[in-house]
Amino acid sequence: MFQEIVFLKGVWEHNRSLWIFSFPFHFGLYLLTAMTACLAGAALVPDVFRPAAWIFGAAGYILGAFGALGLLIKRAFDPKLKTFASLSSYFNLVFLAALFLSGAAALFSGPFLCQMTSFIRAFFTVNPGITLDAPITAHIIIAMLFLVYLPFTYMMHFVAKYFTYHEVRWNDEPMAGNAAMEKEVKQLLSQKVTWAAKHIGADGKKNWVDIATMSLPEEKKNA
Amino acid sequence: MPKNLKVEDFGKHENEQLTSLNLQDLVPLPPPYDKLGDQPAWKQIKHEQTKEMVVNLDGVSACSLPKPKSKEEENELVEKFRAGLKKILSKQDNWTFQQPLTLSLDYCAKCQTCNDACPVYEMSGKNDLYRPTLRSEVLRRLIAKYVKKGPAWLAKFKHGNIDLNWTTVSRLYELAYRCTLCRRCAQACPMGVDNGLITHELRKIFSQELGWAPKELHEKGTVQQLKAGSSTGMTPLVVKDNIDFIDDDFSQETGFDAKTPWDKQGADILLIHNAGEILSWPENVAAFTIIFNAAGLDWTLSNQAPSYDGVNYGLFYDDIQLARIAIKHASTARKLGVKKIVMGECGHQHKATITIADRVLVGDMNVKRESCLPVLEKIVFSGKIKFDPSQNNFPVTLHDPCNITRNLGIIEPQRRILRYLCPQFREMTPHGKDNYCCGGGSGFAVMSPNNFADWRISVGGRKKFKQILDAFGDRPGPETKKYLCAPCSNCKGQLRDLLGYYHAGEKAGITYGGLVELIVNAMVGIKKPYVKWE
Ligand code: SF4
Ligand code: SF4
Repeated sequence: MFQEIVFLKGVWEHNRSLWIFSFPFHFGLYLLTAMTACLAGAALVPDVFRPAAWIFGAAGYILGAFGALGLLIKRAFDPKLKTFASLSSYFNLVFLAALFLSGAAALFSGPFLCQMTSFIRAFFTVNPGITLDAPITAHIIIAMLFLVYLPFTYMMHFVAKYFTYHEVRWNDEPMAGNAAMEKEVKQLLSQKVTWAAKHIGADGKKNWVDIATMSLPEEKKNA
Repeated sequence: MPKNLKVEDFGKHENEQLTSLNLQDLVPLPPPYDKLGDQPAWKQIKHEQTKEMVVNLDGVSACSLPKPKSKEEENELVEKFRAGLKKILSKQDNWTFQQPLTLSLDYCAKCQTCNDACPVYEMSGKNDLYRPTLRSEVLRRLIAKYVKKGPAWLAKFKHGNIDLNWTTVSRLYELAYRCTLCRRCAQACPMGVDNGLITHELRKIFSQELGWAPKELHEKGTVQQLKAGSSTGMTPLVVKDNIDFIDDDFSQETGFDAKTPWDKQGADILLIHNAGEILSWPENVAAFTIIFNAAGLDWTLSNQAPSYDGVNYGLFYDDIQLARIAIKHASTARKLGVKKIVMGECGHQHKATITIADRVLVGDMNVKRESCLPVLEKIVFSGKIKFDPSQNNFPVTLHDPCNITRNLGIIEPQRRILRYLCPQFREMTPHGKDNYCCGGGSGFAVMSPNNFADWRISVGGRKKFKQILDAFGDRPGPETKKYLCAPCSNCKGQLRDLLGYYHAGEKAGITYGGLVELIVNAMVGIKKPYVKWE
């Protein structure tokens, strides 16, 4: 699981040409999360956290921008990916590329660490009286918009992955000895069946147990 | 073959095929099958048949779907499909699989990493129609546009376009039967998305809402099993007669005790075979009896319908039919008061009875259920039976049934037996949880309508055939007799057809059979070899 999440092991094994962009893209995002944590820490212990924040930020923005642009080009020109691409998949990648590129521009153009630390402090103390350089302002606006947009996209997969990876693939936990599961299953089995095919024999009243234990209704030939 | 098939084309050009298949597009096979001219030609569907039957996918028909008689009927069927789409997503109607389905639909990153893991897609020469993701993407778009609330432009922006019409519905039905539900794609997906499960759910919409399923799985499958007692049509009387005959025959032939105990109250084990074995591979049934008797196990078969047939095709297309059969199996075990049910050599029986049925067997119906493989392993290494591995001194390879290995994780017991009893055992590449399906999974092994047998062998089973030939690549000629061990009745059905199609017995000296046959073949004191080569 760790190797899968940090190094995208599955993509490395099965789709290496995508991994070249996908790994830096995802790793860039992880580094930026680390940078944000360090920026928050820098408000308390600047000497330790600021250099770390700069290193994570620089690597994160560069890797992320490389990955996002690569993925965008690949999605637009690789016939295998293009067929399945929707407008939103391009939009998401453009948005992310803008996030990384604006971040890189802000980082390399001025007092990024100082201003970001001030911004975080101001944000949490609800202090609007703060002035920031234009590239940093632009980056913060893009980052905020992205955070608002994120929950409406399939990009939430980074959260879902914790559930899907094992739950969908391998969740075969036995019911024997699991009283809570058995209670839930009994309740589910008491629900009415509404499937309409004749062989099911649902009549709006029978529940799962009734349907699964009754004798088979006569039916005309299926297709 | 049209490459770059667009998802939105799926609902267009009703009477045209989306793609066509040609032998020369498929991945080539190794010698002696490397000459295209030597491979059997495919049966074509006659023009006459297409007047009555829908053939608008790839020129193959697995489902023999009749054309609707009128526009009204067409619309009615489309509406039913739409109703089924809603139900499949509702916790009340689809409590069995709604959660993994929703996760699989919502979190696909559309990276196509799963594609190359699919043997159908790969061996078809990467025909876009067979991407694991295509049918899922069609379904995903239909749900976004026609089921989920919200403006149409948003669905289009997020997912792309698709039309829900008769063409889409009829093509989806047929396409749901071009996937063997082997779940190899799910194993490759970095997100854990399961396109095999999505196919399974699609089949459920057709069966549970529209009443559509291939007749081999439904009428001749689950319905016949629930009514007569077995998908083979055998009633309790016929089964008893057949097994009595097998007992006598194999007792004489081997010199071992092959007498079957019936309906023994309070036995430790209720053994349930796939009843197909009784008719097609009686040596497998007899081998179990010989081994269990020789090891002194307290066991029984049941003569109670349908508990002499472990088949449960409900696994492939219909949750309710699955539950009906599983409940009957469990209640026989409960009435007999056995300690556990042991599955014979049948992969889908394992999956249906051990895990899927678990969610409907509450209270004392939740009888312990176990695979025959660890039971056999314990017997072989218990010292209760004497073996002479030199009696199995011929090349042996192992086919891993998807439902036993990838889907249940039973990998080693069968291997430990083979390493011990078969000096020339060799693995296929890849194997174990990474195995390839035989091409007969999800019910295909029993389906041969129209020209579907050509498809399931040439395309569905192609990767497996290539693996088998490669495993025996050091001694490819017919002069060396080689054994393909497949501990699954459905897989054997497909492998029988596959080897027969390519005359692999005559051309490559390959025969096939189960695991228990090899165990009996190695037993000290057997009158004559148990494995037959003709
Ligand atoms: S199913 Fe998995 S591997 Fe396939 S496209 Fe979706 S996320 Fe990628
Ligand atoms: S389940 Fe198997 S056959 Fe079906 S799409 Fe996945 S890999 Fe292919």
